[in-house]
Amino acid sequence: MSQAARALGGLEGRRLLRHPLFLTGTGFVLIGTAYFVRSSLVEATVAWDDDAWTIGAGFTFLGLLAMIATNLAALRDRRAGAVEQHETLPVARASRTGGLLLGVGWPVAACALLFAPIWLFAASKTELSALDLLHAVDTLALIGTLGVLGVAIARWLPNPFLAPVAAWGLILTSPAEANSRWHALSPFASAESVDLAAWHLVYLFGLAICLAGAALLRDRAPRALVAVIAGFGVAGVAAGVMLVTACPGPGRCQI
Amino acid sequence: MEDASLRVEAIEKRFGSVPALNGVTMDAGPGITGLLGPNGAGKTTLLRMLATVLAPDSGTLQLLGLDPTRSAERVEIRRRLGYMPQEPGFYRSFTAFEFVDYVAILKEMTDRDERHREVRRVLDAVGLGDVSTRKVRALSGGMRQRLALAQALLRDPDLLVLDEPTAGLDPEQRLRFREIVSQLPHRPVVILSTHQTEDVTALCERVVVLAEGAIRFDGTPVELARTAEDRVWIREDRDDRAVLSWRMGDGRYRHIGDPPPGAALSPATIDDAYLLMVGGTADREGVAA
Repeated sequence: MSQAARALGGLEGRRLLRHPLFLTGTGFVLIGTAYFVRSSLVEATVAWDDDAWTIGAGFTFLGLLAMIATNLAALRDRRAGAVEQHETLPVARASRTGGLLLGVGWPVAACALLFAPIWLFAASKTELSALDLLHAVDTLALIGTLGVLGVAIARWLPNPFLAPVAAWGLILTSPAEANSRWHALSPFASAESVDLAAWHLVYLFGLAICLAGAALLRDRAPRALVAVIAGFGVAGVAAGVMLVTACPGPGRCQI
Repeated sequence: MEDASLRVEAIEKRFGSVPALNGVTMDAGPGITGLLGPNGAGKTTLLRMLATVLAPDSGTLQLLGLDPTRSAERVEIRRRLGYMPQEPGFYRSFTAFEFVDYVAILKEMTDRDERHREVRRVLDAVGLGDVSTRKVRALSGGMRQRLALAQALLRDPDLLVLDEPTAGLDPEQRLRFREIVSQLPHRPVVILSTHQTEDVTALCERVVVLAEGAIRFDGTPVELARTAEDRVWIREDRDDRAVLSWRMGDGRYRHIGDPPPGAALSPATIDDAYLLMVGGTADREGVAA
């Protein structure tokens, strides 16, 4: 990745953290956290699985809003009528896309920082398992994947109304209960065993990398970079196949 | 040694069935070259080619001694190019500083401290240093024009392409613009497209008049004015023999064309020459009187 892409990544990342949509999503997380804290103070015992769903829902909304924010950032040139102006500059469009993709890392890092005290508080109130930790990491990976999806949509379907439609589509196509093995491929799916949760995590990483590759492919990125991305993508696909094969065995994967 | 010039030879460009440029040939070296022409003359098409975003259908183009049709050379040209489009696109939610900083990254300035110094330098140069923290959406039209100029000045370009940079500026802002462009430190090749003949007179060492996709004149502003010598006269009433005439502030009429015998000739200006040259092709709204 070029130095310009890294510099752009920092600039885009900082802007994403200040984006009203990201801040709104953070508000959802705080509300969900407040609900969990209240439960833990009022009730004698709390269970992460049963009582922390509000936090997960908050992060999910944050991820969807982050997706719209990254989409708008990726469409900024077009919305401002600056596409041709920027074509006259030496940094290629692929580097600009690379910068946007790297910028997604900032919201993910911010969410990790936001999550850390929540996790520590929960650990002081209830016993947390390796599966719970995997679910937490899965949530962060979900935010990154959705952020990358926002960029990919902007590159292939450059219309600012499509990301909100995609966000609604993701919500509506995720049923409350997993009644088909294909539902294990939903980014929101939650595996009920450590091995499947790990596979879902690999699957999300692979999906994010595939989407990043798709975005870069649109900008005629260097072939070597696309080949590396494709390699990681294969791992993601393999994980997806594994999930589809194993889910939804009795109680093994939920949405 | 680096070639600090541009050469355009027999360039042709069509958009569908509409010809935009018909065999344009010109060259330019360090200094300011004005490009005058009415709307639809092909100025912006030519400037987009000089800015490496549009390729000609035929003909050859050499910018700073490099061939923009070759990918590697095009990137090198872009490193040394500053471009201010006719309608610059701004990121309205950015501050002035952030916007220029963003463009600076796209100009491969990846060292943060060095880049920020350069951003402050160009913002100061265009007189926006004091409003650098203001959002672009809160800047006036004139300030935005200067912001567009600031981004074009990043890294002291060897080739500066300015497409109607003074459009919409008030007289004071136009004078400020002239001051900035005339004081560029290392004499880059500047191509200045404009409707404002006053800017050409004040700034340009050379002027090229483009009309209907072809070059009508290429020379100094004085030579351009000279083409209308003995073809400008003043009378108390309108003379139908004039190509163009208008009523002046003192109530008399200024005419340009072939004067009748015994007419009271008046010294020609660059405006007169330009109007004569583009004749009926001129969209007169765009011509400064």
